[in-house]
Amino acid sequence: MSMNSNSLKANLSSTSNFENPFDDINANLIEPHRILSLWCSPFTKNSIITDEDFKNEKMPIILQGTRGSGKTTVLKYFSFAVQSERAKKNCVSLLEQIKCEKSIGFYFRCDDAFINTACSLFHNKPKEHWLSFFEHYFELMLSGFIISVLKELVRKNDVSVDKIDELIYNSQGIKAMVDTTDFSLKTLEDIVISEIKYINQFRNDSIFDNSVFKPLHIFRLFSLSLALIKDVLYTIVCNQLSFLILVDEFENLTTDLQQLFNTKMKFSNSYVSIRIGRRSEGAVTTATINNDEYLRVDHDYKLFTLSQGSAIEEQKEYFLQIAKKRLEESSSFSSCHNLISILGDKEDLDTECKNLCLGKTDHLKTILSEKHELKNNNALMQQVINEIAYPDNPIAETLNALWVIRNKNSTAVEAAQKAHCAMLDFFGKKENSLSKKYRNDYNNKYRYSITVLLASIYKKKKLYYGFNALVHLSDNNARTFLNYCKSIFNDAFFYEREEFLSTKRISKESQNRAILEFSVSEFESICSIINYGDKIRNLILGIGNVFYTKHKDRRIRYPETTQFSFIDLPTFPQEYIDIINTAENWSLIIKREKTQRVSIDVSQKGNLYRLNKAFCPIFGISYRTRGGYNERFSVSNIEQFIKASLPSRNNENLDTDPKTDTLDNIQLTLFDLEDSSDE
Amino acid sequence: MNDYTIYSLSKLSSYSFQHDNLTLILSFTDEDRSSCAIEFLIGQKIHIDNLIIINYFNKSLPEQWKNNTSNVIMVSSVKNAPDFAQEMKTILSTQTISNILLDITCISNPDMFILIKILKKLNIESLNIVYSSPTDYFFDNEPFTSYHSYNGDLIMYEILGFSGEETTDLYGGNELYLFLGFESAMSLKVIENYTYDKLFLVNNLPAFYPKYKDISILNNYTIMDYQHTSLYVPANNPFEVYNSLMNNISKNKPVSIAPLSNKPTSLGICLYALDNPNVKIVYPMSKTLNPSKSFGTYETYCYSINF
Repeated sequence: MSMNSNSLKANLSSTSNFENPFDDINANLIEPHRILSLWCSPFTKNSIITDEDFKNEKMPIILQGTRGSGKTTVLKYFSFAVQSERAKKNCVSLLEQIKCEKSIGFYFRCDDAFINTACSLFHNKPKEHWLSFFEHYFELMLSGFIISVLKELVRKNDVSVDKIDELIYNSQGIKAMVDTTDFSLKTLEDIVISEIKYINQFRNDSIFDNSVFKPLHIFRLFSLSLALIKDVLYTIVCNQLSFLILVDEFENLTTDLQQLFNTKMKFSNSYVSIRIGRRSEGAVTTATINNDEYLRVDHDYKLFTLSQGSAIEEQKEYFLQIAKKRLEESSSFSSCHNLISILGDKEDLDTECKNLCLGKTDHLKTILSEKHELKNNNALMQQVINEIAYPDNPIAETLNALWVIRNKNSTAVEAAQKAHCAMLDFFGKKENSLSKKYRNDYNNKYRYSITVLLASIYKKKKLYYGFNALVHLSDNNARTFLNYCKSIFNDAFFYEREEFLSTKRISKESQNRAILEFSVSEFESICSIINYGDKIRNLILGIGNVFYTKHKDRRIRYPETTQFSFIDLPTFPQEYIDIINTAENWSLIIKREKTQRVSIDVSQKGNLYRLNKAFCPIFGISYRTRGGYNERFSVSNIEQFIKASLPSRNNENLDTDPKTDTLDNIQLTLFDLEDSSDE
Repeated sequence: MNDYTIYSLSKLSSYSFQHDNLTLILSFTDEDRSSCAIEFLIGQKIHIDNLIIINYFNKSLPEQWKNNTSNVIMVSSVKNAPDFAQEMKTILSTQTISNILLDITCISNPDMFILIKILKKLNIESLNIVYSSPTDYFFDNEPFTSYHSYNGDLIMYEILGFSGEETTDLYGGNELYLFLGFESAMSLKVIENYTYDKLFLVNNLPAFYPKYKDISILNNYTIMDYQHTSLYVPANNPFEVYNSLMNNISKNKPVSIAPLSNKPTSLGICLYALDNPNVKIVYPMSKTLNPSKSFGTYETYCYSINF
């Protein structure tokens, strides 16, 4: 009795203290000490850039990645705020930490609300006025930052204010820049603060007071700040100091401002090193303010793409490490840091299929009915089923059925015997040409497709679960991965609390439920905040539905078809091109890095696309990317999708089920499936 | 002794208007409530000296309005905030205005902020504001998530004149007060584009109808999942919104407010921001507004503001 009470008490206690280790996800909102403690470097030993390069390389570096790929985390990790936390963690003074790292990072986020409104104040003025305003503003923020760092060093007794004042006094660069006779840190701070106040006043009141922008000082980019770095920071720290300008959300800058930064990158000076975080190539310009000069990768800057290129095994290692850091910090999971042991690794398709079929043969009948001679001959159908059936392994017996309906040179019974024979040889490890073909079909080609097909036949859902599936669905995006983990842990805590907390295991049903919920909510969230949101929503649903239909094909003619191309994209109306570009920039659709043959039945080369894998659960389609047959969409197909009109039923290329035309309908279909499964 | 202000809030029917030199500013739209206040004035035979119409949708005015008005001024710059501010400033500074009645019912949120700031800058001592709540909003497809105040895409702006104060504080945090409305896209846009270290989600309690509080929650369910502090303010009382902000907002910290809730709540936020220049007002805007968001008029409230 007492043991029971104790056990209950312990459970209640652990329950009430439960905090989801994946709760804080957005790097914009995570505090510096947490960025430090959760840090996992995305720069692996195989990367073109290392942590050390990022800190000390003089050539500008552009970090490119999808929303949530970790750009902000990287930029913030190298910022001063996190550096201060590193000093605390290492129990050294701030100055010692800066000297040790030989770098200081100024983090600047391009706030689109600020830029849109400030730019609108200059909308009737020559563009030079706006550029000059922004340069001045940026320079003030940068100089203000350096002054704050110096004050912080003084506050921590790392350096005396007299020494800084003396360096400022002796700086010809600073003297040439500011209109004062008293050269000290305090005076510079007052000047910067008063100029920032002037900017605040201008932004708040100029439109009401008809005032024009006339500050006391007007600073060019890297003027006062450069003098402070060269004449003060270099002396205090060391002259190998790498001063990092970490510009985040670069795509929010107007084209003029992007050109300004590009020019600074092309003609960079040796005192500052620029690091840019930007969403994608499509949303930014590489032009400089000299119209005929463009930034060239590897000549003017190094490019590191956070969300592309790494192999699935590398992604797994990276995500596992990210999860481990969070689990280690959680009191509830102090004994279990391995996400694989909580979620399981790979999907168990055999068990899943057994649970779908439950010993029935409906799936065999459905597939065999595709063959004319069996469709209306029950006795023959039963004879074939008797030959190919293998209730303990629904994947194998379904594959047998596929072999039967594809065979054209013999009778159905002979084909069934041949399939059965190949299956036995394969399982008996006998090597021959048929067993080899069977092995390839069973292990590689149809395994996943058959599972999806069986789910469709039995009106149930293909489940998404396990660490392997999670990494695929995350599509190389750290935030998506963390969001999935957060959603799964929340679901498990709600639906299977006791089991979850005691065993530290989460059922596949809970994982699947959470994954689907996040996929739908993420899709809706993105579509509601982006340009052309409604049209892009329709486009993605249209494309997804086509794949969903292909996955339901009872002959499995297009196993795991998830890629597509556009027929003559450059001839599409500009609006459609913009819609496709926006969808690509927001990673709703992903373009493959290199052009390749567009489909097995088309010899032409071109760009191949696929949906973001995070949306696969919405459509119940495979998260894997296979070669072979790919869909091709013409301008009229895209128009049908965007306008959410039903594709023509006689269009072979778009054999879409009209019931699944919108997300609501898809969800309804899913609910329908669930209802049926309960029957 | 504490500073205090006694505020004035009443229903339109019991409000005593000053009749002399009345300038009425309103927006005329397809919504019934947009004309409720002016029709009440005409019904009471109160003459309007200057009628300033912010005509977002180029609607023609009823003849009866013109007959009861000495001077009708149509505001044409409604697509762009700086142009709107310039035109309003020109109009208001060239008229002899002392007795202003501002009907905020159908004026867009950002324009209301700009307009009130212009009026304050013109050294007007007091301002009467009316707001008509609708019988209900249109929920076209299903009851709770189909309300749309705009069409097209959203772009984030700081409302002109309410940009707050930039600082170079190394460790400065930022509080975001998000007033919840009926459109998840708008709040998601704010959250997506904004950096904060503390989030406050503010709902209306009491709301004009109890269900409105729940509709706000339903539409902002995703955001409720973020770490936040919940606050409640009454839907019809801008002065209590002001007081609530005064009591909750941390001093000496950058603060941003997204006024996505109803107009009286936004009015309270506007009054607070006018008194506290460190407050930044952020708002997702679209190029096209929906001309018809509600039907009928439930109640009209009058607020007297002393600047």
